Amino acid sequence: MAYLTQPDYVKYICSCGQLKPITSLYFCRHCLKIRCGFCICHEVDSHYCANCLENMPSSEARLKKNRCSSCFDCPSCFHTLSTRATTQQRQVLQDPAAGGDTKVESKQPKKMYYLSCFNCRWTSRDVGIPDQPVASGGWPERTNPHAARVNQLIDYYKAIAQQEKQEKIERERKKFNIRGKYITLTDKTGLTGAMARNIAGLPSSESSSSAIANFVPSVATAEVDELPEDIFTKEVNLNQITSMPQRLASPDWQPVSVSRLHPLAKLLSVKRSQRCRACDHNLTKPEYNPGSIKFKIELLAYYHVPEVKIISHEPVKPGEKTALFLKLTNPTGHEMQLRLLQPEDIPPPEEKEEPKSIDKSLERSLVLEKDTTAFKAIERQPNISATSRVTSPGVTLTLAQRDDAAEYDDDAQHDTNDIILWRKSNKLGVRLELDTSAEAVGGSPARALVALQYSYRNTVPPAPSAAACRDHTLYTTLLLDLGTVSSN
Amino acid sequence: MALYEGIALIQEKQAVVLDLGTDYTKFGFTGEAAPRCIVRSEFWSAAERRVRRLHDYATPDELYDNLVHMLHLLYFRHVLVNPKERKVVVVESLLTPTLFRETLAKVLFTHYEVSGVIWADSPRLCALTLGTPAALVINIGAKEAEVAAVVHSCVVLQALVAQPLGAHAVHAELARLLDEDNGATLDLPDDVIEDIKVKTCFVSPLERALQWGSESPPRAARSVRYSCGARGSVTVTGRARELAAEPLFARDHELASLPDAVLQSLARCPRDARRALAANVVLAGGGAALPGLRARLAAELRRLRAQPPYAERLHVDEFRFHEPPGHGNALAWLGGAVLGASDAGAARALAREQYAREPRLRDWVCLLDNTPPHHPHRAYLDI
Amino acid sequence: MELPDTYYNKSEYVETASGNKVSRQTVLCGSQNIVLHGKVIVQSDAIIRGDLANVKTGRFCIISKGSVIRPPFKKFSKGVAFFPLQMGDHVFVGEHTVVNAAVVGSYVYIGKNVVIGRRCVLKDCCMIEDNSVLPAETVVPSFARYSGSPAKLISTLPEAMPDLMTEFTKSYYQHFLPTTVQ
Repeated sequence: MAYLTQPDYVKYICSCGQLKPITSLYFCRHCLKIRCGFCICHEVDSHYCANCLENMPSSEARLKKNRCSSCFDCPSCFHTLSTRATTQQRQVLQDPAAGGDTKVESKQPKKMYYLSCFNCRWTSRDVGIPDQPVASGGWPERTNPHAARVNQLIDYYKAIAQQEKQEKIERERKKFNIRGKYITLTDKTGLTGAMARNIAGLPSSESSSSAIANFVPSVATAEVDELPEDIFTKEVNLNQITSMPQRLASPDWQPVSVSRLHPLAKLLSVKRSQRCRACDHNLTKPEYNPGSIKFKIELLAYYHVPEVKIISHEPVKPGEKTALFLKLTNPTGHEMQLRLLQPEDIPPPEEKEEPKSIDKSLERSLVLEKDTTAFKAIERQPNISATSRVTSPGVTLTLAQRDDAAEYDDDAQHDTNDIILWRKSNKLGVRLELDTSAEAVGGSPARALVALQYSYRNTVPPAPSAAACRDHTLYTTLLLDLGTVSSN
Repeated sequence: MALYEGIALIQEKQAVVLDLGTDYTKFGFTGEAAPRCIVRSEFWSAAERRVRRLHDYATPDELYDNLVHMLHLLYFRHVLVNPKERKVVVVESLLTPTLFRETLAKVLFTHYEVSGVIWADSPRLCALTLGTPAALVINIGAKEAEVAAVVHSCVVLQALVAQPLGAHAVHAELARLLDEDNGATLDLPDDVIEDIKVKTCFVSPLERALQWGSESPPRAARSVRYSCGARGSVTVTGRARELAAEPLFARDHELASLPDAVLQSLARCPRDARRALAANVVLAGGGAALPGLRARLAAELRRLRAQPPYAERLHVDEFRFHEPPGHGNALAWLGGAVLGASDAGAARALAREQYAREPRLRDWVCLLDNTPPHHPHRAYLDI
Repeated sequence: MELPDTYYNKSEYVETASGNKVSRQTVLCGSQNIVLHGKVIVQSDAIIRGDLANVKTGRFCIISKGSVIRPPFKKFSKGVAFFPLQMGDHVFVGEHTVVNAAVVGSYVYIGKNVVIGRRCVLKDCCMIEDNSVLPAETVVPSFARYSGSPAKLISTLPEAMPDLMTEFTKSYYQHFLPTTVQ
């Protein structure tokens, strides 16, 4: 949580070179690499309304222009509108044809509904929208005043494109003149072409030419609307004129006057699933239910990569050695061996080309061929300038697996040496030494680079033919933000 | 063949139309009459914990990141579709920097894996919404006003005139006038200035504008008290309301006003197209929405036409204005939506595979793209 | 950064068998209607209005100094009715915040000086930033981060939010220590 309210003190270097806090990183179990929101592929999973928390199938959402049919936003302040009920005494209609039932009903006050904003007190009555007899839906829908003209334009250009294509085919045919005249009557481009258009629901070529014939280009006029005369004398009521956000909230109408504001159907939200670009495996996949916070797949770095937190540190001074206290956490369900290294000690990633099975390697090569170019383009060299370095203690630290029951026996074991401060189930407090270069200027940001080597047990069920290579040694580099270099 | 084409037409996902403006971004689907969203071209940067503007960048990498974030916001917050395997119509100015175009292409193709991009310039798209053979498009954007002549959906390139007379010029003048009238350096934020402009300002008619410059200024319109929250309130005088847009019409020896730009553009057009162009003027861009701007521009054009240096060069007798089928600020976008919906545009798309083979964009300033195939110089160009 | 220790005066706080730590300097109206589900910290000058309707919190909730937890009301034609207020597990309520919500889910972070309007619904895993005002009857969806007045969605939260909140409230509880009696 501290991650959300504090600046990011500890940043990990993603495999694409971005610096991110551990909370916004993912861990691909298949590539065994850290990924971030920048280098993975996002996909729309499901649409839902954030107010009524109803799911909407994608096809329906597309039809409704991604807007909820029962929730509305205030056109004035964009807060969600609430439905208010009022009772309205209905006039007793004396309908001679109707029986006694209607009489009884008509005596009862009828409930009418209107929309009201609890933030700015705008109501649908302000703009003269009649109250509705049903609580949700039924609000008048408006269409763009230019929709018909735009459709005309589209038809016109479609017809022109069609004609051009036709002419091109004709020309080709003339050029080669392979077939006789009689064959062209029934060949693919003739009859079946018309049929295909029919199936596709497109206007046939005859009507397309009529679209060209009937099209009327826009007509220009010499007269232009002058300013209204009263603009020089009229008092301006700022409350009657809409602001830019209010206009742009409904791009179809862009009302200038407040009296023309209409409730805005609420825009849906989406749940996203995320996918590794390199291997196409899902990294996160949310549950379908909009209210659920659970995930079907949730490969977060927070659950797989050792977490490093700064407990405290001495002020960083140029050319001196200062103490740094870190807390290391093993989030996995397996024991973890951890070593602190210098970033340059990380061995270059070696491409292990051990074809486990033919189809697997084939698949991989295909995947590689498809995506590495794209992936390479996204990758970039991280911009790291560290003033200090953490001296590696040269010992391997062992972190126990995560144990949810362990929190109840909370006596810290003050067992070990000058490096390990304390040990608490899967957590470890360490004291390290920070070596700051003498060139560091006082007042400049103090940063330290440190690399981690950690063992990772892969829990992906191995392919039947694959060797039991489940334990891996992985590396990651971190950038610690230690405030500023003190000047004295 | 035709049968397959028909099916492909159905299965093709509806393309999106993207217009990344300096101030506002327009984004929506092809075939629709208005964009799905018009939002400020800015996004929340989690790393910096502040709102970042799309066009604030120092390095290409920064621009790349900005575009990635902005498009993420547009795709997943506003339009809610998968960018993957979907075509994009990019509405751009003819004067878009090459770096911006190329970075945008890179982001779209490699980061969002779109299936194709149709690059379309805004003058041509504005003309497309009219359906007339010739159109003189005056696009008043945030930064610049561009005047372009489009004849048979070809932009007359030598007649392209751009001046820094966009909405920002009006904002700067309004801020200056407000400071002057309130006798203090107000230092109002941009969005407040914009709001004052939108709510109170108008363009004064030609006669009144001339009077303002003379000894006896006309009676100013009513002044307005504009309250800006905790900062107290600001008086917007009638003078400020009326004169904020004057920089667009201010003439100096360089003849760099908006009407001058229009006439210069016309003068550079082929002789036989000038009359048709003058009879088909269309105003586009968000800056054109100021009340009275069209009337003032028409009056200025009619006045200046008869004056040197245009009187003897331009024999244009009449200016006619179009009423386009959409709001000015989304007119170029609308053209993109129309273009993308008809198959003609889709056929001109730069496909992803093609970009992967050769990551190069066609550009009108590049000799490789603007030399006709039979031109004698062509032989030296092909590598 | 690891959370620093917060110290409290041992004589000021009452610790119940279920691990709740409640300051004596609080106003708990209608305490029979207040259920704190264990390991909940209620700090000085907090007000919980159990007299209006039931107030229920989950485990590991932190009610900071000077905050007000107040069940919401609804106006009917024949008067006013109060509704119970439910709070999930691992909820943090910042200092001087007023909560009038109907439901606060689990793993929710509410910042300082926030006003949560009447009958708001805060779903699981959401965050309201400091100095925000949430108008009445707002629904805050999961993984949303709201800020401003009126509060609006500004960004989303990481998927690990439940774990982050759990860790935060637990370590807050562990670092909430009595001062040694002098």
